Amino acid sequence: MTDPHGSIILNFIARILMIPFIILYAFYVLVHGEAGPGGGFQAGAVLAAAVILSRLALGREQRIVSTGGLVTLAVAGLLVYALTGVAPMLFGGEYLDYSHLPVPSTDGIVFGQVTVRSVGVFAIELGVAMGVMGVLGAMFDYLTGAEWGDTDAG
Amino acid sequence: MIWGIELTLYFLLVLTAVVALETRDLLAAVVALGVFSVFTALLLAVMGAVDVAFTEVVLGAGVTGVLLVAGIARMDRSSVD
Repeated sequence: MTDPHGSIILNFIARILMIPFIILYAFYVLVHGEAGPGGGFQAGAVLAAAVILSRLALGREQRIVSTGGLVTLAVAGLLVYALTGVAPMLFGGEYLDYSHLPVPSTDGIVFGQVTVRSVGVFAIELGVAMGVMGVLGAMFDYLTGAEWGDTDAG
Repeated sequence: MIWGIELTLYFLLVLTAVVALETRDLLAAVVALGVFSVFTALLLAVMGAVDVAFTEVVLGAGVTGVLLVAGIARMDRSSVD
């Protein structure tokens, strides 16, 4: 299932057209999730779709993220979520209390109004997206036997 | 006219669910399940739950189908006679 097909048309469409667009759209969904439909979970699912497409179309050798990278991403996403939750507790707030996050003021540096709350929400969404992407991609890898060493499976 | 769209979607939803349950070929059942997920997502979008519809169409029709096909590819038989 994860053997490369070698077709130049499939390689071109997957590598040049589809995977960059899917990743770009996932980041749009992630950043725009507060104002429109979308958010961390949906962005992570779309990113996992790009990861799985790279494995299906390009094969195991030319995939965009390795299995170990996916597991690392999942754990790092959980860590981002936990640290964003714990950091306000160290600065006098409660768990996930965004208003106590130690974020410096960005007035005059970034265009528009960046509140401390939006920084906290974005960190949470980023953690959720990383976790969902890592877990879904690793599920596909373990199911197709990429970690079990048998190359004839799938 | 929105009730007509919803009625058609409900009809197709039940139809694809029955097809996914009754077909003997596991690969065809997975495809029918993906179509079922798409109609569920369309119904959710009609009801105004765009967020849930987004999740449903990405996970239900995309990732779940690929995972089920990968599971079928690991099995000895691809269909039950």
